[in-house]
Amino acid sequence: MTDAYAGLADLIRDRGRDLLAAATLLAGGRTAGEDLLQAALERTMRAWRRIDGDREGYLRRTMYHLAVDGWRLRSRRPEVLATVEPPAQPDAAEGVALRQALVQALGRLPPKQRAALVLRYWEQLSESEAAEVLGCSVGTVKSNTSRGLARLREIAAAQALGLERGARR
Amino acid sequence: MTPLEDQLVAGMREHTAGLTPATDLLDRAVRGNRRRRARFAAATGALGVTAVLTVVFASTGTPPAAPAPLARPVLTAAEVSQRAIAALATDDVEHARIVVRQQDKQYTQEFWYDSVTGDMRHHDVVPLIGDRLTDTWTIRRNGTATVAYVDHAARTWWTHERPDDTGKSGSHAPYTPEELRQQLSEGTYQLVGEEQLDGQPVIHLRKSYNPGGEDLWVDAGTYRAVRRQIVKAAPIGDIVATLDFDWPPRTPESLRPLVFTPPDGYRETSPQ
Repeated sequence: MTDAYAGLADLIRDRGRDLLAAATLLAGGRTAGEDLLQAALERTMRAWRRIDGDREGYLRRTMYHLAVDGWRLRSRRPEVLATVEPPAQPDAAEGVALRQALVQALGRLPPKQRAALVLRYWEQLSESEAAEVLGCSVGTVKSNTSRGLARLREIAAAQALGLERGARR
Repeated sequence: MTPLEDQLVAGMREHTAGLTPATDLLDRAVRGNRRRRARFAAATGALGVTAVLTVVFASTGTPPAAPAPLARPVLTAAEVSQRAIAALATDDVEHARIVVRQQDKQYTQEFWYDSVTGDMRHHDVVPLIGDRLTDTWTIRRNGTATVAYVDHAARTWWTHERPDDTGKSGSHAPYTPEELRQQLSEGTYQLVGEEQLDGQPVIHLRKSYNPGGEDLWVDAGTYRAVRRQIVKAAPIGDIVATLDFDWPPRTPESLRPLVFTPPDGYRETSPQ
């Protein structure tokens, strides 16, 4: 690392896990998440010395903007979704299949809905904070969150039906 | 939270448990950034191979792990458009000087836009003959758009609030990054070629509509919009709008033009 990026290594050391987790949820998988985080880092490096104040916030916003833009581009071509890796700690509990299905479904949502859900439920941001990160109105965050949840609810219902069928077999 | 939301959060936690960035993540980002800079240097022709390596060496303190690719690949219009879209993804402030001409008439405006909040300002530099010099701010907060208008000729100002319907109709305010991104996403630009604009290496794109058309010049290294020229045909002569952009980082100073303060000595009136 050069002095030109002083403080960046510390930021990644302290906040890298959280950033990678968000990137993984945004991109649909670990590998794609690392690519997204790396791309956001490269963008942030270009502006590193000019960033006034919250550098983590800048990196995080860049990551969300890139993710949304990247998905927007991909949506114009046949979409290749990253495989969702199994949970790091396998759990035999009943809800695991449902939770996996929900995360997998999250990866198939339109980019803005996905970003809104990650910001609201993973980052635990308020609607206005999420709107600020995404650079959109609070109303847009509300509608994207609502539509995303509605889609996940459908997945959950289908999953419950499938589990029921499986139990009957 | 509802049970579904609880399950979603738990699923997210399970899905990301134990994730740690690869130890070389930062090094890869540094190399990626270095490659971009080397490509830019090669593209501009301002630096030769030796100079590029010297810059890289001087900035990192170590020689590059592998020779950086120095020749910029030939890109298609679609690839340039995609890169230009990606370049719009930052939260830097947009500042444009807009000159609109029709026959012998002309007016000049300055335009600022904050893509984080959606705030914008139009400032008349030279109004149309017979028109008044005005300033208009649009400030967006919590679903409300506040329009502030200053009439410098009458020395009056007023504000008006309305629901913020940004993006609801699917279209975006003219000249904003969102609007340009929408134009680029349509995939209808054609590549004219590489040029110099006031000494700056740029890539020239063009699209035609009926009637009229548009030219866009993006920086050859960063793919940021440098100039945009929109021509609309009209019965008494084409209307030509030329926008020259710069993209200062978001700082209190660069955001200052977007802060509305009623001018001293001006009188508040009701919205007109």
